[in-house]
Amino acid sequence: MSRSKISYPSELWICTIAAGLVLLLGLGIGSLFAGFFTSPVFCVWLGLLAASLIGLISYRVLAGPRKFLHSTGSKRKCLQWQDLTNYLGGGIVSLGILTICGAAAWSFFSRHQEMPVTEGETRLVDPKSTDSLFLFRIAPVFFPGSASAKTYQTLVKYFSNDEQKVDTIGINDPLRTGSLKVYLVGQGISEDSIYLYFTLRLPQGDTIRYEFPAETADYVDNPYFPFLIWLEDFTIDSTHIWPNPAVPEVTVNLRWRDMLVASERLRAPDSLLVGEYTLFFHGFLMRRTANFIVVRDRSWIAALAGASLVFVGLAGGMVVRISKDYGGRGA
Amino acid sequence: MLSPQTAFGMERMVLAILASLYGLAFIFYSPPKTKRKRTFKLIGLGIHILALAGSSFLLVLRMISTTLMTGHLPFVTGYETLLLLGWCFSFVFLVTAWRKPAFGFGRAAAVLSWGTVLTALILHIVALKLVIPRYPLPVLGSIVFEPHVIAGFLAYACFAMAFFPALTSLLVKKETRPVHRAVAEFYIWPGIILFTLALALGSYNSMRIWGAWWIPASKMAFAVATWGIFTLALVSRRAKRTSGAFPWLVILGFAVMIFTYVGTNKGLHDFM
Repeated sequence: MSRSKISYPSELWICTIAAGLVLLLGLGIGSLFAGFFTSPVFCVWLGLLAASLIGLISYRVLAGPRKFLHSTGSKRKCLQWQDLTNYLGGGIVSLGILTICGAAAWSFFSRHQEMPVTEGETRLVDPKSTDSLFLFRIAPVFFPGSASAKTYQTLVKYFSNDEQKVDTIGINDPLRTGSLKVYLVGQGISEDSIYLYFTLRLPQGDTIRYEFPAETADYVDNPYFPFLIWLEDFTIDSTHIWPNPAVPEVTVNLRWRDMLVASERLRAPDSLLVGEYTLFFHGFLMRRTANFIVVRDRSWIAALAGASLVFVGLAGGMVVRISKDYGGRGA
Repeated sequence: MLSPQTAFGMERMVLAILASLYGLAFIFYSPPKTKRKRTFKLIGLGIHILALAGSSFLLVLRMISTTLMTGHLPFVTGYETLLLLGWCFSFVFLVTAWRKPAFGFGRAAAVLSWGTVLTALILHIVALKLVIPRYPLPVLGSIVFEPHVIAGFLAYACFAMAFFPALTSLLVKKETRPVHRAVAEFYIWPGIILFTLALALGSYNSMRIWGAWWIPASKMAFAVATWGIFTLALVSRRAKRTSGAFPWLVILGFAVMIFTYVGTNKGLHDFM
């Protein structure tokens, strides 16, 4: 095939990108109403765009740079540095977009796992290993003299291969461990973080704190307390909390050496006296839940490389444009 | 030194003065048929420069009322972005006004700034709740958020300035069309480079907060589409058979840009 018969691929480039843009606009409009991007449609879009770009770049390489008539009266087309820069710039931009498409696909299949953890809980971070994370506490950091949160900080203990470290994770401040990063993306109070809150006063005056999660048949078995306490079925749902907090009621059973010595329904803030021991029922206690995202994703390196290529290609195009304006070749 | 309360109280008065100045600049940029057309336009330029200085003063006032309290530049709420956008339109034009064909579009810059300043003034009068300085959300505490916004709005200003010559190129005689299209292209080049930078900084910001450089949200899709349409416009201008599509693509890009700014502020961008 002779070079003269190969048309310059700008039109092809335009058609490729235009088709990709129409699809992207469709996805954008769709995402205003539904989660289009989480569907395979996005992968299909990326695939189509990438395949078109691969074809286009190959075609550009085969066609080579286009020659122009650079002076009036001349019948001979020649290649100047601006034409070559335009050709290379266009190729670099196409390659950059292709790299970004590849990075997006890589990111799409990388690990981004949500991990809600309630204060006082431990969760496995990585199912493939024994890495886990214990959440001590979530605390807001306020703007000076204000009740508005500037950021949120969590105090965590990270367990990994018999090692453990205490660290903080904040918004914009992830925990980095090996190839994993743990991001704090939100916090709040979830239904399963609501507890019934008791304290037990011992004869010598000390108090012991007990928290029972809802829907568990947990019991108090303490060497300083001769009785065994357990609670009868209780559940807590959002209607107990919202719009007004309800006063919880719970049946408390006390057993001593296989004998049921007391069974009483307590309504917060009731207390139950058993000999010299006093069991106080305070009501609900809510613990905060942190929403973490565990990420193993290095696609940003490819995305950065792609963005740099696009930037360089566009800068080349702008330099050519400026030189043409100042060089007298006109608009 | 002004107190934050005093600075906030002065905003409405400065907005009213700015609306008048931009309006005056627009009038002087569009003189009747007279021998002193150039003098009128130069007076318009002088008023425009004065208005830009006023817009800068307004941004300083907003910084006093907000930045001293929050430690962040005031580019978060819809009202604050209007102030920045109004400043960017005139700044981009005045920086490029040395170029003769571009100088002819001073009225476009003046009317754009006037529109944004007037909208901000109306908000200040009828919806004070949206205007009062407020603390930014914790996710906006990243160090790259402000450069991302500044680069994005400067790019928006460049694209908006490209829109008018692209539009007029469809209305003027065939001989003068290339001049108008060259002016549009002259604005798109810095715009596309700034927008690339804004997208890259936005991705970096997103990566710092959520661990993903690409978040599937409508704002992102429309921002990338805006970038793509203006890139396509640049390529189409150089291609033989598609150069006629250039002004239409610029107009489409401008429409998508406006929609990106006002129509996709939900989900991760609902703080606007």
